[in-house]
Amino acid sequence: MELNREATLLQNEIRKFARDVISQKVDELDKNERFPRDELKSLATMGMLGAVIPENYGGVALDTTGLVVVFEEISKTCASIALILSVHNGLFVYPILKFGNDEMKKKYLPIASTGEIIGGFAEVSTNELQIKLEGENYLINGRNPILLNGDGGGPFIIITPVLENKNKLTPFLFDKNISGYEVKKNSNIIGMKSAGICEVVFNNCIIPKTNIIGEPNRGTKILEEIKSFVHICFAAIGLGIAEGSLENAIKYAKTRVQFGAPIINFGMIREKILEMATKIEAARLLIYDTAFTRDAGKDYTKLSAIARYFINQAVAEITTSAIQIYGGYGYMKDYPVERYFRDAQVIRTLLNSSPQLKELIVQRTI
Amino acid sequence: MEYFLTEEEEALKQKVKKFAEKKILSMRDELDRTAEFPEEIIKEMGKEGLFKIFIPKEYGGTGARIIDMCIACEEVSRVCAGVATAYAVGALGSGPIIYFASEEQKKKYLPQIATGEKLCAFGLTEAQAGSDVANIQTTARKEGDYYILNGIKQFISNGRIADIYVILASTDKTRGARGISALIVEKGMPGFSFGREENKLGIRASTTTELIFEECKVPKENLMGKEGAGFIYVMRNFDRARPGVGAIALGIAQGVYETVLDFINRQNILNDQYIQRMMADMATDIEAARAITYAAARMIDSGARHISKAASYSKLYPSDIAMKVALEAIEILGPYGLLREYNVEKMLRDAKITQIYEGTNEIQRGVIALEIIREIGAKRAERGNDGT
Repeated sequence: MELNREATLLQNEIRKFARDVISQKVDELDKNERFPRDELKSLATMGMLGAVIPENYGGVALDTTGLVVVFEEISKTCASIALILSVHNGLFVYPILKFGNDEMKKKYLPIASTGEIIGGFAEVSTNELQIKLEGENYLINGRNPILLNGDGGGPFIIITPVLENKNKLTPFLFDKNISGYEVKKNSNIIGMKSAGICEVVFNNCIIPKTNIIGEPNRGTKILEEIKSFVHICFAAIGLGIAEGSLENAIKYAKTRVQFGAPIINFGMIREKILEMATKIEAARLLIYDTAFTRDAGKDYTKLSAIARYFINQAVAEITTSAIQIYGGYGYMKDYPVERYFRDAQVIRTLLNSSPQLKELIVQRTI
Repeated sequence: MEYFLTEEEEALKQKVKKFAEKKILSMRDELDRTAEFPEEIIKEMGKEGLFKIFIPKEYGGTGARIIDMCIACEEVSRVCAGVATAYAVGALGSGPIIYFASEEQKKKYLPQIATGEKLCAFGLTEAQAGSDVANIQTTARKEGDYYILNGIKQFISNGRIADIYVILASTDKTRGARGISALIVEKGMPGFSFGREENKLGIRASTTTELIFEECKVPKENLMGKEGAGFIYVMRNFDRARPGVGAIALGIAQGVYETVLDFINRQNILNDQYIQRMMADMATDIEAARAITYAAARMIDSGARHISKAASYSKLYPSDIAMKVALEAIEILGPYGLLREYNVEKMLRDAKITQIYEGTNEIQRGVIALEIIREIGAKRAERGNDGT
């Protein structure tokens, strides 16, 4: 698989940044569950906070292939940072760009490009939130444990059904001028510890109808389209995690001597590497093919679901195998593979209610 | 499924289950967060007589039957595999004493272990001797009435907490594996101290510590069995302990399964065929894991001679199933599976160690393969004798 010149240059640039900057910080970020503000500032100067934003709004308008390169390369070192970028670009900026009104675009896109704001997102069920229409406003009560990029400070988009119409979704845009909600760090999540995932609690929060993206109860299609796009981004993160853990496992297996030889010489270790490498290559081809398809302007819905489905399984297996190759050391927090394993659980689960993803593929196939 | 437990076995199962639900369940989250050793719980387990099942009747126990160990470990692990590990080390550490120690040593140590008054541990692993157990560098040199121990043991479960340690050390480096001896070392012996404590992905309630021996003086009567026989003792002890690891893995899988059932019931998705397929596979896998664990336990308890293969089956299969079930559970629960409050993420983190400790699953596969090869060789020899 050949990347074009532009994508290759981008790959080199991001790879260098990951190696020189992120790799020095990644352990500390995970351990302290620190939101990487400084690192994001550097990435903003590289244009990465405006990755999907057109130039007239101050962005760099990467194509899908470019985005995949960015998420893959960063996730090899630190999946949390890649997750922050993908949520900001794919789940905050993209819905506004695609479905928001002019006012929203003018207000948010330029400051999103510079990284002045870092947008967040949550998909919420009626079990968690009660949203009631009251005149020109909605009244919101309840809590959601997974507000992505919550530590970014907002604004953020919440897609949820309202009480009047439980089967339809409505996307709301929450800004600083909305009061009645509180965002606090959620430390009870297995991985992506420095991605700033928060809990959000609404207490008689009032949000005007004008903060709806698109029309009330018309969010289902929006969510489907966002998901198709974000499946590619999250798949790229899964791929990066898988590649990072394989790379570490190989390095370890070459230096770890048991029974008088580096363990990389042993057949059972080699077979694991065989499985990991094969799945990674297959996932790469799928993910990049999906990106190429989208960049060519063709329907990529089924492909992106398949790519996501495939890497969801693969990244779970690959990160498990990486720990296994490290043996007892892999189980300890001093080595990176347990972090890859924890982050893998998050990336394979977010925005992925598994029967839905499977059903989408089946329906498109039959 | 019906495993035809005897009345006593069923009573043990119910007793441990009740204990785990009453005393461990409410503590497990905090233990996982703080990574503190569950000292109170272990003490209460002692009072309940749960360490007695590891010890023969003559020394204050109830029979040291592998099946009892499996039943108890499964039920504790169903609630918390960290506590189950801390508990099961009681069997791993007392095993060598039961099978290879002198009458005097048995009388001295086993009754205290049975009551839970003293906790034991097993010190084998070193930085350069993980899977390659024969590569241990710790030495024991004989000087007068003492062995002088030098070296560092790594990743020792219940290190620092335990009072009695079975330590493997080389008494004759020139003989490799045949130069390894087993010594009983007590906490407080001069030159015996503890090093770093590990910060682990899971089983965080169990403590994993370095043991440091610097010119540590161990009375020569603390040698277990014969000099140079330590490696064989270790292997034979593993054969008896491995079904316990299988049972811990099984308990995790069972705990995950029950959590998943509860979740899909509350979410009202029992009619979804994707969910039904996963439920059916989980249930089948777990029964198969239980069957292999119990079968190995019964086989060992029967006094069978060649038990290595069965012991490895009983560790390999349930641990792979525990991981499979836990990973699938995360998929079923979706984002909720990532959250501490649903407990599945903890059980997944716990499950991973069962593929690693007490011989990685690669080592288990190696043991099984070597046994199969040995059997082929034996058959060939037999045919040779027949002149065919």
